[in-house]
Amino acid sequence: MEKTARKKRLAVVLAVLFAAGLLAVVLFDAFAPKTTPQTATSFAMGSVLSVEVYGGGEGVCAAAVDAVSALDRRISRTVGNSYISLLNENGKCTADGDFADDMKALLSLCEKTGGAFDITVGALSDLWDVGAEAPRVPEKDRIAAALALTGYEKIETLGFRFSVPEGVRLDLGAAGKGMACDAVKRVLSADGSVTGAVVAAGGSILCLGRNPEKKPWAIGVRDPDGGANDLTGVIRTEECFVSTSGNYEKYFELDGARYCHILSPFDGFPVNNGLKSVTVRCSGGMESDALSTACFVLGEEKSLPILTAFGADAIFIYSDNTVSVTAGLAKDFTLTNEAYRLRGEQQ
Amino acid sequence: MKRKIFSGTDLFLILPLLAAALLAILLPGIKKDGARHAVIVLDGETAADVNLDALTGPERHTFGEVEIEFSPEGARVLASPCPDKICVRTGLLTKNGDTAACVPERIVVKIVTEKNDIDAIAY
Amino acid sequence: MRDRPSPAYRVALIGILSAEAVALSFLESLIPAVPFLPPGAKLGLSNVVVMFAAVSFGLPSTLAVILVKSLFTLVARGLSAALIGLCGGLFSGLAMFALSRLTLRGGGKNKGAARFGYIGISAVSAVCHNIGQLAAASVSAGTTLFAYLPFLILFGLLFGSVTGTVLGVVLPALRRQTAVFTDKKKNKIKSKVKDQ
Repeated sequence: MEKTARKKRLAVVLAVLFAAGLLAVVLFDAFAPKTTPQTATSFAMGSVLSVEVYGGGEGVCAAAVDAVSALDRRISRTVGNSYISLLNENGKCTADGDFADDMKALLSLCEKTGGAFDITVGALSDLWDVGAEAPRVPEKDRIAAALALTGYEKIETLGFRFSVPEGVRLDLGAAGKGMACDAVKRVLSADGSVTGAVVAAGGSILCLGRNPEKKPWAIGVRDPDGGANDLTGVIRTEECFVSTSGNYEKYFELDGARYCHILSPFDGFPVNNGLKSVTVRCSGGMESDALSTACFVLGEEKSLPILTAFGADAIFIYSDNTVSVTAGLAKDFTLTNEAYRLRGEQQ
Repeated sequence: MKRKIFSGTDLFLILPLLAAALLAILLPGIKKDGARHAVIVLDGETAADVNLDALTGPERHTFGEVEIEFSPEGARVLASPCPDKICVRTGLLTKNGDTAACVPERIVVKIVTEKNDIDAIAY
Repeated sequence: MRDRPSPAYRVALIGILSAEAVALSFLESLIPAVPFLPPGAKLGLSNVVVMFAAVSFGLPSTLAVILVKSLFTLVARGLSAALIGLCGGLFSGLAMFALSRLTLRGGGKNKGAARFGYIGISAVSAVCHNIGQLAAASVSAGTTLFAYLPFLILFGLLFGSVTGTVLGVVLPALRRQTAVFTDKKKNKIKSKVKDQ
């Protein structure tokens, strides 16, 4: 009957559509990017820069990497004609607007941390040379001499022109990676279609937007005594910058004592105050990096008012395996390592 | 009309679906574990952490005097000035835990599988 | 040509079937969750009834049962659960209808005969149910949910086969239930296809 024939055709059409639909869905799952991010991995600022962007236009990762390279060319001590190198070499330099803005922000940070974060530690870090083949503890008078060449207030600024007294050396290593994150954020924010991103410049991290599962970002806090993938705990957070300063990144040990690469601008010695690392979360990259260094130098008690002033939060990991977390982070931080225990909330 | 509980033609429906599902699971496009990283430790400090799964092709980088190649398949030491060349002879590192070390150059290359739920590590 | 089924009786029967579907769904929710199942993978006992409606009474009746079931979900578990369930149910119901009523054999000695068994129909429609739910859920939860798709297909095929077998087993009982609404004289509800 005609009706059956029509019905049969309908059935065939439906069946084919059906099969096609199922196949499409299965193939989509197997092969299509599961909201795979655009990624880029590059080597910059002396460590690995990794960028993961969800959404965003074509080439957004390349643009981010370029921005960091440009920053590197302005501030790196290893780049021969960076403004920092010129300043260190010649005692003066004429820079550009970007550099001047950065310097202004850096100097403000030096001031607000009471000098605990100081960009003129170059003379001291050159003297200690913690990464050297045959490290040694310098003599006291040489430390004193280098200390005399330290102090951010020694930098003179006039518009785009900078100068420092003879022998004063600038080193932006304590904030450089955070600044790289800032540069990436500017690029990504300018691209209106970025829905989320996580960027790591060495150990400084930027979280932007949200991950595709719409859950908060999970940032691991490295266990100072463990390997590259060993954690003390995890921070679950919305957009922010996170940086860590620790005594385990670069150090040498002599006669049972550890000398780390973070030097105190106050006494000229590597920091040795019972802390293994400090992790800071706040709303600026340069800030998070600088503050983590400053807090590491100052210790927890003196850091608290500074953190509050910046609206930042921190995790202090002590050598006795206790962990202290400031109030703003307490609900976002979870201890995952049984070897550590929490000290309790601070205010 | 009598309809059977199971008819031979049912297999025409079930088998393709079954095959598609199994294929989707076994194919490498599905990330069951997290991304694989090659971690380079030079002089006791982590010099690099390269996400192998994010690479589109082989890339070479030099650490000190040692040349290492990273690719989606894994990592291997291409060249080193050391006398024994044990690091080079270890060959391609692919799985979590695979390690090559060059003692004279104080460099270690190892493959680490990232934990799935951690987006980044602050160190 | 065919007797039109008496509307009143038909509505009543659909009502009974819907209630049974809801009851089965409720009973199933009482079973403690098994740990390794992906989200959304359920046994789907209520689909036994839905499938009976699909093979016996056609698309509108099937959709009616599905709708009632969704309303129940709306009351019991909220709007999002209801929408997700509705999406899965509709897709699954369409599949049941298509596979049972639209794929009758065309010619030869088996003309008009059923092509697929209950297991085949049930397995595929269970998979469709899962896919529909996944699609609805991913609107708010993101497309990474699709990672579960292969497993939902596998479990759909498995559980669907189970419910298909169950339907085959309880079919006589369901037919007797239908017969209650059948009257030898005029107010007959006649299945569009006999002895289904």
